[in-house]
Amino acid sequence: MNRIIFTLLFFGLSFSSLFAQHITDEKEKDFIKAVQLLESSTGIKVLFRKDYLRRLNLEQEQFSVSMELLDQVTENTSMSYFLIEDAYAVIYPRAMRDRYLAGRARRRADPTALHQFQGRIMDEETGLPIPGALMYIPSMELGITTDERGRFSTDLPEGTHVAVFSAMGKETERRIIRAYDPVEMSISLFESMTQMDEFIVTDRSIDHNVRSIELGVNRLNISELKLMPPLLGEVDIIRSIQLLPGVSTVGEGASGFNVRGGGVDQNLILMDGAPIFNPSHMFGFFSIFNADMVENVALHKGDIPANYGGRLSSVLDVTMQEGSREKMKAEGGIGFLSSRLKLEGPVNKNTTVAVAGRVAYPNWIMHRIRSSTLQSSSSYFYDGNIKINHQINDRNNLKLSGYASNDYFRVGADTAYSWQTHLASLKWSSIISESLASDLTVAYSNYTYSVEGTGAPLQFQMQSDIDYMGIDHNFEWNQSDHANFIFGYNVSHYAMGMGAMEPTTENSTILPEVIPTERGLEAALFATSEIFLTDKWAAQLGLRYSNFFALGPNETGMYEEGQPRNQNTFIGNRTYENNEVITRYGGLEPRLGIRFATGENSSLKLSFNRNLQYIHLLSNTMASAPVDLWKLSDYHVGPQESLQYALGYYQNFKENIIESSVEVYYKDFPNILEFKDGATLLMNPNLEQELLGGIGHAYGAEFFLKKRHGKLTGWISYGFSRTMRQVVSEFEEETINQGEFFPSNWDQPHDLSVVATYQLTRRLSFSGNFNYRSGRPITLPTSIYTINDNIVIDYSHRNQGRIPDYHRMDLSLTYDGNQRKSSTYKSNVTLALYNVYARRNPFSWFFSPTGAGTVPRSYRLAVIGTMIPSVTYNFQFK
Amino acid sequence: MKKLLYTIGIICLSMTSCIDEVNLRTETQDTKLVIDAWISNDPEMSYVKVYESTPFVSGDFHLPLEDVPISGAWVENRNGFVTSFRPPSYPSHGLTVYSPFEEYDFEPGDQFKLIVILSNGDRVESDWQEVHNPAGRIAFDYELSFQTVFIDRWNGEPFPQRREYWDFNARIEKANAQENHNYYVKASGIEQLYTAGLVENCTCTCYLSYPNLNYSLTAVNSSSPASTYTVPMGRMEAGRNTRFYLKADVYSVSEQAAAYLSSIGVQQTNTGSIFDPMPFKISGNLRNTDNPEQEILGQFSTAYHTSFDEMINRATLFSENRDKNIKLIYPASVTGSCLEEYPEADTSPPAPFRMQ
Repeated sequence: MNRIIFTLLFFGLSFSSLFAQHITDEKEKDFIKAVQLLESSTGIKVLFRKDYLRRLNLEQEQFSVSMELLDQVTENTSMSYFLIEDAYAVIYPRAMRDRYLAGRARRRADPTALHQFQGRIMDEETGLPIPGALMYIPSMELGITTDERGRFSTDLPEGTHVAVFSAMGKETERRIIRAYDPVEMSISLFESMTQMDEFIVTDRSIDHNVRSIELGVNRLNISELKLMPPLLGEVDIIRSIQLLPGVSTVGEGASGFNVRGGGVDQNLILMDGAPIFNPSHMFGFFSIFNADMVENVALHKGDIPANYGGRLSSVLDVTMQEGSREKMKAEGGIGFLSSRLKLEGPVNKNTTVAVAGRVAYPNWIMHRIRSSTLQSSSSYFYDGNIKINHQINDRNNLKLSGYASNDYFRVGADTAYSWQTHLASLKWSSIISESLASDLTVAYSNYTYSVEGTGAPLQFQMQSDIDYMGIDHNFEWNQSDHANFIFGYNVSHYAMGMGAMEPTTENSTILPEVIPTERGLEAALFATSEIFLTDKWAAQLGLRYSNFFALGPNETGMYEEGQPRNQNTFIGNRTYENNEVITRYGGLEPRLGIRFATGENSSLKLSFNRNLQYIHLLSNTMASAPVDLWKLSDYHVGPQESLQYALGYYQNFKENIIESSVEVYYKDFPNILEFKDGATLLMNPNLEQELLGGIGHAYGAEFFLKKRHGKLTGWISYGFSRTMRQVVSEFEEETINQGEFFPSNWDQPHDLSVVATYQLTRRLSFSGNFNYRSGRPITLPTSIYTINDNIVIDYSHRNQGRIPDYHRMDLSLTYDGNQRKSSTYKSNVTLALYNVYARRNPFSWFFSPTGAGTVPRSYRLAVIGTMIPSVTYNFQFK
Repeated sequence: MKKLLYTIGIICLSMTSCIDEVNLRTETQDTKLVIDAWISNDPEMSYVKVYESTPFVSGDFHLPLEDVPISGAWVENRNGFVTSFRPPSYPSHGLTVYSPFEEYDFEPGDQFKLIVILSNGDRVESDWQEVHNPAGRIAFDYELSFQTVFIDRWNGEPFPQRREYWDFNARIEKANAQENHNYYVKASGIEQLYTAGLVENCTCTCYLSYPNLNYSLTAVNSSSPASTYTVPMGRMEAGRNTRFYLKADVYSVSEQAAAYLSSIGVQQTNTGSIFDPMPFKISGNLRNTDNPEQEILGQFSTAYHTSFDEMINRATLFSENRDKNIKLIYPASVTGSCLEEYPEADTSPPAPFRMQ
């Protein structure tokens, strides 16, 4: 247990050269001056992480400039230091070593057994050995330098250690050393391109995928993502996660993504705690997440933690970056179709700010293309992020995050679509005591869309909006080394505008109409605990109790008992007053995860969870669109429900450089929402007449192989999945496909992705990805006939056919300009080719008449039917 | 450099979205019995057709529909009055069209049901369809719209040109406030076209018929409380100074029939985009009472007919809208006949043009 914690903690460290630091506090400045004097007088280089400055005792009247300085600042603190060959001094937390020693004492392995550890440290670019390079293991206070041939050799006690390799002007490398036999390795160090304090800091160990209890979780490293081939000049998080096993999309141009047989509305997408109702710009070509601002991405698709709820299939939790604490920085990119800029820096000692903006401007090209449709079309979007971080004191922190965007899209002259997202969240993190901490987040989310028709005489504007306000309060109680306990509550209020139509000209024949807004309150209590029973067994137990209240004012359609819901059985509306409870739903949502460590590098995990979802996306179009309607559960529409059972086996190889996993799952959907054939969903005051309840199931297997380090990195993922639905009723009009199971719109059994990045030289890297997936189900014509000389197609039962399979390859090349550490301006150019072999992947098939009396022709629509090149110039000022 | 930028940009977008024809042929011979049946005060819209649907073959010009033999077909009303439908005395090409054999009353409020007896004795019935009040007053209006079209040149890239159009609309008034707007609308027209002849005895005036100006089925299924409903009726080029004959045939139908017909309209205008609904099966109101498992395609509807027509003089509209800067389209040059330019047109004036 301690060893895991130790590994977790230690891997999070990134040591920093003093010379790279910019510290504003006067005492800290004095200390650094003293260290500089110490270094110049003794030749000993002092290594420490800047975060540790606060844990040192700097309240000295005067700092010593000898080695006593290190004793002086670590005395009576939680920090310690050790010397390496009189060349380096490493300051580190004392507890790390204590825990390591305690953990080692408990281990079965003989601590007295020693194994030789030797190797060479080479220059990646020149291939030459680096004399005087450093290998150190802080937990053992062990460090040695390489000889003139770059070689080092030492004995290590049996066990697992984290070794750090460093040399002047080179980037630091960390490796897990498994000293159960003699170990030999060769390390190549790249020239340092960035400040050392910019290394990615993570709270997860290198073998987190094996050690953790969580199953079906993918975490993405934003620096990895930035190396993937971009589309239209931007790397995108949503498109990137679609290359992970179990995540798919019905095609280019579709908003959102599908996880393990779930609909796009079954994913809870959070930006700093605020839910997002449409994560796409320009129909999925860009996502709402500006990659420059993203800090962490976690996708929970299997075992959704109990503190998240309200969606059936997954949680995509994205945390945005805070501003730099050191100095003002700027970075951005300029492309043919979009550009972006980010500024960040400290406001004062305790406050930082980061702001970023993007704009896409394809109009200037569209309007030069000789097509009447494109010349009368228009499309653009712009968005902006802000994040302010304020450290109130050692125990309290405030984070304010904001986001706003505007999209506009018009094809031809007649109809324009626009949508806006506004998000805001305020998070107060507080350390209440040594063992208790809390996070309180207040979040606001607004999504508005409008459709504007300009074709006479039906000039109109239809608008719908969603207002969300929520509170999420988490407490974390670290009860012991063997268990932690997270509990809390969240409350969400929804107001869903169901549509308002109004004429936009005096001559318009459209009549104003407003469908009443739906309101609802969702509240939940949750508790979850991770329990480490033995070295091998660990469990995560969670329970969530959620309740949903559909609230007035509103009207609910009433129907004749025992009859299908339609206009003929409609009796009238029942009216509810403001805040009157129309109906209530709720239930327990248990979560269980078990991990059994089958070996040092492997584990078996099992999970079960039940989820309830009270809001629903109403979409019967080819794919989810930005103007689809969201609806709350109400008198007629209950919550959707899922039960997921998953089993996974995880194994890492080659010192955790290669990780692999196999997961299988089965999901039962006891209650899902479906639509009648040809349902009218917009501006419909009696939506319940178009909606049907059904059941479904999904099952699948996912294989994942990832190489994390080295010149070649990337992953291969393959997923097999099926997702089926069934709608049965005693009434024929409320039955689909005669009550037989049918594939859902996103049932794509095979999904293979290969993602690779190759760092050819320090400045030149290539990346590519390939994606293959089965064609989506469609409903095909079976025969044709005429009604009063109008040709009509008779379609098969729902989703009995499939469009051809989808496959695509993207490539990119990134050339880095001057990246020297001392440089204040850095840049790179990315040349990317999207859909390299220009495959016309079909998005849909449709059947359209071409002339009177002729059979409609069948057409294939490919949203992206060619190779798309893009060139982006990225820059950074420091 | 600028050229390079444009080239890259154009490659990016101009070919981005592609629509290709797919030669789809249905593998299964899943044809079904179809009944297309109407009863109306318009004799042209009172018929029964019983036939087998045909397999889908993309873009086929031939529609090989074949009759299904029946033992009888009739329509009865709530009072038990029966009107039988019989085949024509003289067989003709194509499907057999069964027409009313006896006189029948057709008034708003009447309810009718179709019964067809198949040759195997199975009985197919529709549900009851009520005759709804005819549409009230119908009027046309026109609104100018613009579109950029690209004119091909033999020696270079196409050049853009703004064209002006008159968009036709029919304003249909409800017969009474309690009714919904449930109509089946046929928009037709005849365009007079001039050409410039190079010989003295040139037949330079043609008449081009548009049996369906909207190119798809137009149906209205609206519960709007407004007294009038405006239906798009197609468009004509505003730069010509010839006449255009416009006619709207409006059939009041039941709500179920209007929804059925609207579904056909939606199907015919689907473009496969993310805003279009998924393709779906359209179900009518016919059931085989002896074999309920059998799926019967088609519909029986009542349709109360009213119509409105107007001869539009575009020269007058042109002069009334001089401030709109409408550009004249000059007649095409022909040697001796306008059919050289408009091979699908007719040179003899149709009835509306002869009368005025």
